[in-house]
Amino acid sequence: MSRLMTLTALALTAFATVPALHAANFQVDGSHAFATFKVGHLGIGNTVGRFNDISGEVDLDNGKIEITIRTASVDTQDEKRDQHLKGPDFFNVKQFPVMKFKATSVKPAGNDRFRVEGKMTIRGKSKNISLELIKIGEGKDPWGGYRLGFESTFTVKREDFGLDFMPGGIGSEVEIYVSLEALKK
Amino acid sequence: MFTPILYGVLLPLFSSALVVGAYVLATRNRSRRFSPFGIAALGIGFIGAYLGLRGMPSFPPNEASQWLLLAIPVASLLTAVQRRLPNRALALGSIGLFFATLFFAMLQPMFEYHWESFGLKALWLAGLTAFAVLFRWNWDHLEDHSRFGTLSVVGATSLAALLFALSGSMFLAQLAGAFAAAAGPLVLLSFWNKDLPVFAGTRDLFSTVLLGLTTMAFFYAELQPVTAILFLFALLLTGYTGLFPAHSLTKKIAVPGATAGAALAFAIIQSGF
Repeated sequence: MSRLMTLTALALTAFATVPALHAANFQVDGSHAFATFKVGHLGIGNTVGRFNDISGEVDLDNGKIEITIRTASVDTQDEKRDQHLKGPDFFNVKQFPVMKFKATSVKPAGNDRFRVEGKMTIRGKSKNISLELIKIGEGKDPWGGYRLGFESTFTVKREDFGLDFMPGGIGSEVEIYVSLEALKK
Repeated sequence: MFTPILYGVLLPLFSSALVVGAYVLATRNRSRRFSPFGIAALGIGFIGAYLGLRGMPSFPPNEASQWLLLAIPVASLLTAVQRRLPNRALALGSIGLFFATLFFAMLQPMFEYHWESFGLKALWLAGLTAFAVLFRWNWDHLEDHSRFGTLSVVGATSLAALLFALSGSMFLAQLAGAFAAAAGPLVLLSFWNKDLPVFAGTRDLFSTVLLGLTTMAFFYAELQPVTAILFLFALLLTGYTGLFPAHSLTKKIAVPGATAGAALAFAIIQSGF
């Protein structure tokens, strides 16, 4: 009996350390997390920017993705424009310090792709969006951690989130690209 | 590019003019006394501009400007209530209660994310409310039919629009500009009939909009302390000119005008122009 218990314990320990690890809970690595956006400018060109402060948790198999971006970290390589983007005309960062995405459903779509439905909240306005998440890879890093990397490109209408300033000068559709690495907790 | 002019200037201007015109026609053969037409002209103009520029607000409000919008009908009621209160102390109390509630609602993000200690929160709320009561009481020095009063409303909100635009928020500038546009027909009316108490109905709405927008520009945009203090001081001085009704317009304007000019100069310098 005691041999059986020992074998069971060993089997469970071995199973728990099998490296098919995206079932585990991962924490977004802020140093390797990128969120950029591209929006039309005057119908002539594009303005591209990014957010530098991203955090969150990911558990693909349990359908959990929660990403938080600090709006004050917006960066478009122009200090004046960044100040304007942080103000009441756009992100209103003092009233809405963060924007969030919370998945409501994560379904495998084959070839390391996932169909993700979720709620995006910007400026206190929430809207359900749908996006495709592509797993880039996963594995051990040189520092003993275990990482998962993925990316997604999707488009939102800025007016849906109350970002409706300068309707003619700035395009309505904003293309967002997110690339994240997450560390197993 | 036409949208901000349409909703921020033309809509408040014409809707206010319609209300004023309707009032003049309706009271053609009667003596004209205080009536809520001034409040209606300003309130409809400002609310129309807000809805045109920003769309329908959520309820309950989830940002400061939506609280300000909600405060417009309440401020209008406040004007009506004050006229029925038996003494001045009660009227000032009702003003204090109104502004304390408004600031408490508008500054929720500051309470939640930025000010940690209870003392700091209480200090800001008490300080702003005390200033708002002083500000509102101060404008009582100008007589109900003061043409200088209605002109000052347009001048102050126009200057506010400039300051807010220079302080990083075109939206707040558009709202201040919309209020100035809505007040335009009231100025014309006060000049057309100098015995009409046009200014009487504007004080509460004017104080609410101006102090509400300035609060947002200071806490949520980039209105700098020096500019804000000079601007508000200029407005306090404008109210005090009511203590000297015999002074010429030039004399009345000189000191508040110079202070307001200094506020504008600071805003221009700080904006980097």
